[in-house]
This record gives sequence, C-alpha cells and structure tokens, in this order.
Amino acid sequence: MDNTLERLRQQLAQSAPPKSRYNPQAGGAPNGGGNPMGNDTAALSAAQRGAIGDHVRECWTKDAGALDIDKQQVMLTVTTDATGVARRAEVAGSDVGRLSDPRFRAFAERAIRAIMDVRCANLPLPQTALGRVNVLTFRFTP
Amino acid sequence: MIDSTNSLLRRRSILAGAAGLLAAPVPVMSEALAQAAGGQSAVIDVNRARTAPIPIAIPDLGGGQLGSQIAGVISNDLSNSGLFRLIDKAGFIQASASSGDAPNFQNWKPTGAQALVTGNVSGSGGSVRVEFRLWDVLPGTQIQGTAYTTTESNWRRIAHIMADVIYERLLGEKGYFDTRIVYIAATGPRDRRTKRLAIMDQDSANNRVLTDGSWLALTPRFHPTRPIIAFMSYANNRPRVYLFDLSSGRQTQLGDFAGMTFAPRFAPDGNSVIMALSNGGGSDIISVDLGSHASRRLTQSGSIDVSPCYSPDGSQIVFASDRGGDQQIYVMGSGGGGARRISFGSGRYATPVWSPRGDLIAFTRYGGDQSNFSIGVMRPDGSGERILSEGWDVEGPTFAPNGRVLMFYRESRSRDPRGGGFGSQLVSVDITGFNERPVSTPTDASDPAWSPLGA
Repeated sequence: MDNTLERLRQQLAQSAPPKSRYNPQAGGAPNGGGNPMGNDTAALSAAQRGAIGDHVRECWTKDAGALDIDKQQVMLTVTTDATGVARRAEVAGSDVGRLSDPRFRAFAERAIRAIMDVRCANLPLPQTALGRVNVLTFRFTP
Repeated sequence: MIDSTNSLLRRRSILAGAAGLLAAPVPVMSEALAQAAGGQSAVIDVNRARTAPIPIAIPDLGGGQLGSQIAGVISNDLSNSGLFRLIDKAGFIQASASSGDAPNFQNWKPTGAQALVTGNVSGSGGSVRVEFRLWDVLPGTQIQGTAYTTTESNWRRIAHIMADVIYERLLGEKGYFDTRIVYIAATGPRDRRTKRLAIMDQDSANNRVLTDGSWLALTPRFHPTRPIIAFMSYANNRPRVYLFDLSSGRQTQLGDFAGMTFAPRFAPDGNSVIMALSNGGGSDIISVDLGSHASRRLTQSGSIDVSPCYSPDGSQIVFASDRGGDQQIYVMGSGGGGARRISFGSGRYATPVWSPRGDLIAFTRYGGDQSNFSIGVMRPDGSGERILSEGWDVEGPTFAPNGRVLMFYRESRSRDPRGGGFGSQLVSVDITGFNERPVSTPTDASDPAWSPLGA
C-alpha cells in the first residue's frame, strides 16, 4: 500500500514548468470606472438615447448661412460625473483630423458648447447609469 | 413500416423546428452581439438645431476712452451681423478683465455668454498698442490672442480688423467688417437729381463724396486688389465707363468706343474690365484689358446683353439678356459662347451678381405675377431660388466679400406729384433672409458696391 501511495505521489509530482501564463493585468490601482471607448452609450436603450438627445437639442444652435452647413456632422466623446452632469466634451478621434477645417471647427465648437451649456449639461441618464462616470458618444447634425 | 415513417416524420418535424429556432430573427441576434461587442454603432443623436446667434460679452477694453471706443465698434460690427448676440453690460458681474489675466469664468457663465473678449489699449498718438484675447467661456479656454500696433487715428480700422478676427474664429469664415462701400449719393428733386460718387466704411463711418456732381455717376465697382473704382459717368453728355483712382482722385475714360459703355465690373484677377457696349438697338458684352486697352467681344446676339459679372474663379460670366424674349439671367464661359438660361421664375430678372463664395447668384426680379420688385438669390445652376426682400423698388444687389450679406437699395414711392416722399436708401440683409437693416447715409443713396476685405 505504501508503495501504491508512493507511486501515486510520484505520478502527481511536477516534472515540467507550468503552461499557464501569468496575468499582466493583475493588481495595480483600480480605474475610475466608465469606458474610455464611449461604449457606455450602448448600455442605453434607444428611448434613453433619444431622451438625452432631445434634452441637448434645447441648446443646439447652428449658423444657417454657413457654407454647406447641411453636410456637416461631428462626433463628440462626452464624459459625465456620477450625477450625470457633462464635465468634458471633445471631438471624437474619428473627427479630430477635420479640425484643421475652420468651418468644421466652428461647427464642432458649437456642439461642445451645446453639451456644456448649464441648461443642458445635466443629462437625463437612467438611474442605472448614475453613481459612476459615463463616457458617451454623441453625433451632432444640423 | 408505418412506425418507421412516423418516426421519420417526427424526426423531420423536430429538425424543422430546430431549424426554425436556428433561423431566429437575425436583427435580434445581431443587436445582442453588437451590444456584447461594445455597441460601437450606438450614438446619441442631436439634430434639428435652431438658428441662433452666439452670445458674446464685450466689456470695454482697458486703457480709457480709446478702449471703450474700440469695444463699441467691435460690438456694433458683431451685433449688426445678426450672428452674435451681445450680453447686456448691465448684467456683467465684473466690468472688465485685463487681457493679461485669465478671466474668472464663474463670473461670466451666469451672464449666458459663450464667448468673451478682453483687451487693453496702451500708448497714444503715433504709437498705440491694442491687444485682445478671445475666450471660450464654457470650457474656460483662450481661443485667440492678437496684438496690433498702429496710430491712434487708425483706431476704427483696428476695431474692424479685430471684429473680423473674432468673427472668423467663431464662425469659421472670413469676416467683412474691414471693408468699404462705394455708392451713388443722390440729392435734389426727383426730376433733377444730382448723383455723385461717394465712399464710406461698411458701418457708415468716414463718409466722403468723390465727384462734384457735375455729371451723373452710376454703377460703381471696386477693383479686387487696387484702390480703383470703375463706374459709368455722363461726363460731357457721353455716357462711358471711367476709372476713378482713389489715391489721386483722377478719372480716366476706359477705352474709346463709339457707342455707350456701361455696367462695368473688374475681372477677379483685376487685369480687365467687363462691361456692356451699346450696339444699334441692343448691347453686347465686351472685355477691355486694363494694360493694353484691347477689347474683346464676348456676346453678339443682336439682343440686349447687360450687367455681366464674373464667377469668383473667373471661369464663367453671369449676365442679363432679353435674347429669349424678355430679360432673364444667363451664364456663359468667360471666353463667351454657350450661354444657358438659369432663371425661370415669374417676371423679369436683372443685375445678376455672383457671390464671392461661388455658391449663389443674387438678382433683381420684377414684373410677372408680382407688383413689387424683389431681391433674391439662386444657385449658379438656377435651382433653389429664394426671395430675400421685396418692395416698391428694390434693386442692385452687391455681396459682402465673404458672401454672407447682401446690400441693395430701396426706393420709396412719391406721395405727391412733386415727388415729395420719394427717397432712396441702402439696405443690407443676410443671405438667409434674416436681419434686414437700413444702412445709414447722409443723403439718399443707391447703387452700392462692396469692397474686398481690407480695401
């Protein structure tokens, strides 16, 4: 019996290095929550997104006589605080390269001002989205 | 056998049912997968923007009276454009902010301002330094900062230049405040009017008369780069196109033609003048080289071809012609030929002018199903016709150099047989049809022409 037990122990003894790899993400300071890629928007329903868009539209203005205004569009990445107030708005990466066009820059800055306007910055986020930072993606068209 | 068949049928049913489950509506599956993948297509749409001016606060610049005066001119320029709404100074929490320090944005946000101008004036007499900064109030950042050194007597022009910088930075298009208007100043009774060439800043300041009124003057136009005006004069009772040198005050006849020449305009490169030349009972469009005075006939239709105007790139010419029976607008290549009609509304069309932006042609329309005259715009292909203003007599549109504003003149009907009540004034309107405003002149005025920026 001892021989059997001994044989079992020998079989179980490690004879090669482990195959699994260490987790480089393990440990470190926890992040502040939210999703830097703006994917908090996807967690909202269509109705919720519509309500937020309707709210911001109250502050959304355009320069109707600007050349080709009807063709303009800008994507913004907006970061809110835990209470749902927009604290930061910037042109999304996909549109940053267009900022060298003064007409586009003027259009984008109007969109940023619409989000940051004190009358519209308090976004109507659902209860489930409060209590944490949210990163949302907005698309502004005239 | 039957049992096997039934078994086979049941198996097929089961398989069909399973296939149905597998063929569940694709969008549901795709949406779930999309959400699981991060929903990169999910956005919050904000659309249907209102047309509204940008609220801007312009406190007096530091540096005493000159700072106040400069702030006043900037405020008037931006407010009169209709694209900016001045924040009432009575609502300012702080009267002004030195241009050197960042403003306390917590004091400016409650006023509703989205933009803020601060600045300072120092020096006097022959050397004055004017500096300003433009701030984006909501993010709390500076977006423009410029300084100018000039003489104290030039303060108005510096204010207009600063207004242009603010306009361009916030709207993305060139401004039009550092410009001048040349026009015909009219005095005297209606049946014996004296018409003089006159010039002023676009805000009606610095008005002065250029000719003495000995002869009738009409339809002045600015050279694109030089201080020269082309206009029609009835000097010596021979109606011809003349060039007026703003620097010297000299007038010279352009070309030597047997017939009447009129309705001149400079080519975009400034090297020639296009105009109408009477020819028997009609008129043709010709081009005259300013250097050699050589002329080239561009139309010869046997009808009345008048009021030519180049496109901003010089490749096309828009003009009015009655070659089709009544006066309409046509476009042809700059070398002449291939004219195509672009106006098809009710009535007759006249005085076409191409926007410096290239996107619109403005015109005068009259007759047809309307009793009044009207000023309108259309795209260069003739589509999208819009009327901007109407009246008993409105005509002669001219574009601001950024193509955003039109100026024209409006005549009022006489109240009595002696012509009492008759008058003529300049009017400006945004190309969207908003913000129609009278333009102040010391006398009756007509035939305005807008200078290039900085002229």
